[in-house]
Amino acid sequence: MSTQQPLPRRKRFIPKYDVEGVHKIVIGEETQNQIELVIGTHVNAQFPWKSVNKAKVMETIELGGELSEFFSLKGLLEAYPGEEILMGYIVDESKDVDEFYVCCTNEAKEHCKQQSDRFIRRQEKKLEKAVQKKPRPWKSLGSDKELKELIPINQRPLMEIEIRAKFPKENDPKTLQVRDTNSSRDGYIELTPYRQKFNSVFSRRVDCATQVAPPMIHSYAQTLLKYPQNMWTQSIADALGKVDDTEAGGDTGNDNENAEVGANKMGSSDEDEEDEKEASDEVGLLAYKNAILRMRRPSYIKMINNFMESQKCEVNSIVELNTVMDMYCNDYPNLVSEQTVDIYDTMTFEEYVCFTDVRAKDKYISCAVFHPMWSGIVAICYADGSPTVMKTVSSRADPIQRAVYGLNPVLIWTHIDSLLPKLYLEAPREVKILSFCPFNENILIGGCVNGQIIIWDISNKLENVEKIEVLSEKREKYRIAMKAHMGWMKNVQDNAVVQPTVLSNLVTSHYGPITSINWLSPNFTVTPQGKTVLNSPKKKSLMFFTGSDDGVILIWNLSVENVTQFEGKKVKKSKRVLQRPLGLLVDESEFKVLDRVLQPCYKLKLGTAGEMSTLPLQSFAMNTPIIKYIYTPRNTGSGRKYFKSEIVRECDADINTILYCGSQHGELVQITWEGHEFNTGEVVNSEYAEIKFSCCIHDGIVASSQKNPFITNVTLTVGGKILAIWSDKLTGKPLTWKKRPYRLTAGVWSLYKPSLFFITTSEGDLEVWDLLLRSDQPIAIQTLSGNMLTGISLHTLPLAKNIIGVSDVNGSFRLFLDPPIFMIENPTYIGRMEATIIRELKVMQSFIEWQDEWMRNNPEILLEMKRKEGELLALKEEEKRKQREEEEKKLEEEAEARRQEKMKVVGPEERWQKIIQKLIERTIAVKKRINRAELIEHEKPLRELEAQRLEKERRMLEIMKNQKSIFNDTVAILFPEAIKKEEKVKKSLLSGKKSTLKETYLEEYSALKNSALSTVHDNPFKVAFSWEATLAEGTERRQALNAHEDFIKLHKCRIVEEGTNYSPPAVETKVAPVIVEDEEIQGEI
Amino acid sequence: MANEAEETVRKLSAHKGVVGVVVVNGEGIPIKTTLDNHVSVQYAGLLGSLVDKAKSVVRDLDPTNDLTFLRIRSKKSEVMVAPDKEFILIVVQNPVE
Repeated sequence: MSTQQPLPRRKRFIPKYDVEGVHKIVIGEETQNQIELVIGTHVNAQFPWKSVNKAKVMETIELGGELSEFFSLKGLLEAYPGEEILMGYIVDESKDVDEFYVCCTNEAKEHCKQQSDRFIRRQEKKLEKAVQKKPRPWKSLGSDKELKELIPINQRPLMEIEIRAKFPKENDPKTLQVRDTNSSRDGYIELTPYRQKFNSVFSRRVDCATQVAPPMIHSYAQTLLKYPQNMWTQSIADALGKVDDTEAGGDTGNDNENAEVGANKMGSSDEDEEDEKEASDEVGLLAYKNAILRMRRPSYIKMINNFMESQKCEVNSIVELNTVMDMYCNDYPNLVSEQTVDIYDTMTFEEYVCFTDVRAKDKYISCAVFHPMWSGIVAICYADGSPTVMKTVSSRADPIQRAVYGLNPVLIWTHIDSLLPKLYLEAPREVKILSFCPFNENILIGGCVNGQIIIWDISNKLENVEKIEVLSEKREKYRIAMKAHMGWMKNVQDNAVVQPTVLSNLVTSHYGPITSINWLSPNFTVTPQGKTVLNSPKKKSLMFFTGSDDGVILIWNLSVENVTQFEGKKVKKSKRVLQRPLGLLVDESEFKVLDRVLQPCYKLKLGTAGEMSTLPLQSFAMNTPIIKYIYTPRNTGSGRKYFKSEIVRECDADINTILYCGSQHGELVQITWEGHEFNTGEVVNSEYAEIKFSCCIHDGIVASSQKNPFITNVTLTVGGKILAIWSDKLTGKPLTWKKRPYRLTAGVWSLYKPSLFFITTSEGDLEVWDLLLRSDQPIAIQTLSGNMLTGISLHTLPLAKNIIGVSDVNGSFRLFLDPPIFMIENPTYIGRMEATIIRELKVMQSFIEWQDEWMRNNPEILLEMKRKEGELLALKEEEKRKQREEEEKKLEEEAEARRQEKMKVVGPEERWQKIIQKLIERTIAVKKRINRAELIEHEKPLRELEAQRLEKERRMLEIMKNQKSIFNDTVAILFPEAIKKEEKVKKSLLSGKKSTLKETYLEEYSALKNSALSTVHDNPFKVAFSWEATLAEGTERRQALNAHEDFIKLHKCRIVEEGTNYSPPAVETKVAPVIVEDEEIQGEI
Repeated sequence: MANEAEETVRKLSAHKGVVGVVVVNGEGIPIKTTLDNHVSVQYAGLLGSLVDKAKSVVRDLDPTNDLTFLRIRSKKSEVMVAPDKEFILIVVQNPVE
C-alpha cells in the first residue's frame, strides 16, 4: 500500500519489526482458526497486529506437538510472562504461505506495538491526504493572460459620486406653463355628470326697482298746415293761388318789350279783378295784389333781375356742390359699414360650361388661354401650386418622384365638349404659363417650371381628333375582326396626345419657373443686340418675351430663318433609323428644327449691376400686338368659327420699350432698355434693364399686370388686396389705386370698353369696374364660386355672344356668358377715358407740385417732422434697449442663481456639514431610542382627543346659537297654556241682533228652497241604462275572467284529438316496409 | 315775371335734389315759386322772420357786418337762403345720398 502512493518529499516509512524477541513463523489456516487469527477476519493489511491468548497458543502446541507451527518457539512462549501474545501478519503476496511475527518478549512487544501504531497513523494520514487534497501553488500554463484581461483593473483612483434622486416628486412645487390645449390629446377633458345629485334651486321672485325710461322714438307728424297768421301773410293761400294762377296765366303771354303797355293793361285787368275780389273782402289779398302789381313795373323787374343776377352765382355753386356731394355728411359711420354694390340683372354673368379633368385632381389652374383665332378653344395648364393661393403643406412631396411620375397636364378643351378635353399636350415638366401666338394659329407656347420654353405645334391636331373615319362595311368588319384577334395590343397611337415640338436649350433658358409670356408685335424685331427695329412691310417677326422667377426677361425669336444661326449645333442624326416612316412625317412641324437648340436672342436682367438681388418677376405688362381678326368660314363641321389674322401696320413711333414688372413681393417696377451697339461676347447678349421707378404699393404678389388694349400708356396691376392703375406719364406712383377688403387674384381689361376691367377675388367674387362710371368701387360684384377664384381670361374674338373664363381653386375652369351690357363698343369711350386719365394725371401732378412747393416753402416743418420722427424712433430704440437690457439682466441673474445653487451643492464643506448634522441627529435618536414611527403612533390618541374636543366645542357653539328656539320649544312643550294664551280669541261674526238675522235667513230659506226644488224638478237625474249594454259588459268581463279556461279547453281538445290519432301513424309505419319489400321483390323478379 | 329771373329759377330747380325755389319780396310775399302755394307761403313767412332775426344777430355782434347767406341743414333737407334788401331767395334741396 505504501508503495502505491509515492511521496517524493518524505522518506518512505518502513516499520522495523526485526528486533530481538520477534520471530517469524508460518501459520496455517487451521491454526489461524484455532488461535482466532484468521487473515481477512481478525487481521488485515491495515491492522496486522493482534494480541492472541497465550493459553490458546499453548493449547495448539500441546495438541500439535512438534507438528505445531509454534513448537520452535515453545520455550520462548513459555518464558513469556504476559497473558496475551502480540502477533502480526506479514503482508507478502509473493509467498504462498502466511507468515506471522510473534513477539516473545515484552520489549519486543512494546517495540512492535509502537512501530505498528506509528505505521497505522502514517497510513491514516496518508489516506486523509489522498482524500483531502491541499491546494498547490499556481503553475502558469499560459491562460492567465486571458484571465487577466477579464479582470477589471483600476487605472485611476475611484471617484466618489453622490446621487440624489428627486423623490417624492408629487410634492415638488411646479411651475405652470402655457400649453396649447388644442394641440395635445389630453389638452382638455369633458366632465360629464355621473351619479350626481343636483339640488334644485327654486327661482325666487326678487323685487327690485328699475328705472323705466321711455325709448326715444323718432316719428313724424303732419302738422296741420295753418294759413299764415303773421304780419307778412295775412291772406289765404288758396285765394292767393287763384290769383296767382290767373295772373300767371296772363303774365306769361307778355313780352318783355311790351312790359309797360302790358303793365297798363294788366293794371286795368287787375282793377277789374280787384272789383270782383273786393267783394270777397280779404284784407290779406290786398298786399299780395299790390305786390303782384308792383312786380309788373319795369323798375321792379329790373330790381328782381339784379337780385337774381347777384345771387345766381353763389346759389348755383352751392346747389351744384350739393348735387355732387354731401358736405356735411358724417363719414365715420360710412367708413366702417360695408356698402353693398347693387347689381342689375343685365350685369349678371350666366354660367355656360365648366371644365374639370381627373388628371388635374389636387392641382390648380396655373394658366388658361383662349385661342386667339378659333372660337371656343381654350388651353389650360395645371400646376401643383398657384401664386395667389396660400396652402399649408404638411409634407413636401419628393421632388424627384414628382418629376418622374407626376402628371403635367396641359389640356385643350372646346366649349362643345365639357366632359373630355380634345387634346392632351405632353410636357416633361410642370407648365406654369401658356400663350397662343396671336397671329399664328398653330403655335402654343408654354413656360416650364424649370425655366424651359416648350412649344407645341397643333396644326391639324384638332382636325385629326375630330375627323370621323368613314369606312366601308367590309373594312369595318375586318377591323373589328383584327382587333378581336389582337387583344394583347395596346394602342399607343392616340390622336389626342400631342408631343411637344420644341423644347428650348436648357443652358440658355431661365433658371426659375417661367411666370409670364408676352408677344411682341410682328411689326417689330428685337435684334440680338437688343435694339427694337421696325420690320420691312413684308417681313413679319415671331418674337415673344418671357419673364421668370429668377429676375430675367428673355426675348426669343421663333422665326425659322433664324435657324441658320444655330446651324453649328446640329443635332446628330441617328444612324440606325435612316429615314422615318412616311406616316410620321406628315405632320412634321417646321419648328421641329428648333428642338433643344432654341435659345433667346436677348436677355434683360432686372436688377442693378453688381448687386446680387434681382426682382422675382411674377408678371409684366407690355404692348400687345394690334391684330384684326376677320371671320373666314371654314367647313369643318365642328361648329367652330375660324378667323384670320391681319396685322395692323405700325410705325416707328409705336415702338414702346416700357415694361411694367410686378414682383412676387408686391413691388412694381417700370423698366426700359436700350440695347447695345455691339455684341457683348456672351452666348446671349444681356443688359441690366434701366429701372425708371420702383413702387411698393401692393401688399401681396402682383398676380397680373396688363396694359390697356386701347390706351397703351395705361396699365392695370393687381396684387395682394390692392389694384392700381398706372400711367406712363406719371412716375413713382400710381394714377389711382384702391384697397379691397379681400385678396385679389387676377385682373384683366375688357376688350370692348377702355374703362372696363374685371377682377377676381379670393372670396369667389368677380368684380366689374368701370372707371368712367365710378372709381371708388366696382359697378358690379357677382359671386361665382364659394371658393376663391384664381384667374380670369377673356375670349378675345369679336363675337356677338362672348364668353369669359374663370378658374377656381378646385381646378375647374368655368365659362360664363358675357352680359351684353359689358360688350357695348363705342369709339367715344376712348376719348372719354383719355380725358379721365388726363384729368387724373393733372390732379396728381398738381398735387405733387403743390406738395413739393409747400415742402420747399416750409422746410422747418419738415425738419420738425423729421426731428419728431427721430425722437420717436430714438424713444422706441431706447425702450427696446431697456427692455433688452432688462431681459439680459434677468437672464444673467437667473444664470447666477443657478450657478450659486450649483456651487452650493458642490461645496464640500457644506456637504460635510450636512452629513455631520444628519449623523448627529441619527446618533441622538439612537442614543435616546427614539423611533419616528413609534412617536407618531404614540401621538395618535392625543390627536384624536384634541379633535374630539374641537368637535364638542363646535357643537356647543351650534347649540348656543339655537338657544332661543330651543327655549321656545321647551316652553311650548312644558307649558302649552302659556302659549295658547297668546292666541287670538275667535271673534264671533254674528252680531247681537239674532232675531232679525234669523228672520232674514228664514226668508232667504224659503226662497232658496223654492229655487232648489224647481231646479231639481226641471233637471231630473236620469241615468242612461240599457240591458243589452250591461249584458254585453258582463259577458265581456266573464270572458276576461275565464281567459285561461280557453287554454284548458284547448288543451283538452288536443289531448282528445291525440288520443284518437295515436294509432294511425303506427299503422302507417308498419305498412311502409311491407311496401318496400314488395317493390324489392318485384325488382328481383 | 321777368324772363331772366324766371330762367334762373328754372335752372336752379333743375339741379339734382332741388325740391323747390321760392323768391320772396320785402313784404314776405312769395312772388315766384316752384312749390305749392301753401308750402311757399309757409316758407316765405317762416324764413322771412328767421332771416330778420339772423340779420339782427349778425349786425348786433358787429355793426359793420351783414348777413349774406343762410344755410339751414336738417336731417332731410337743406334750405339755402340768400337775403337781400328787397328780396329773399330760398332754395330747398335734398342732399345726395
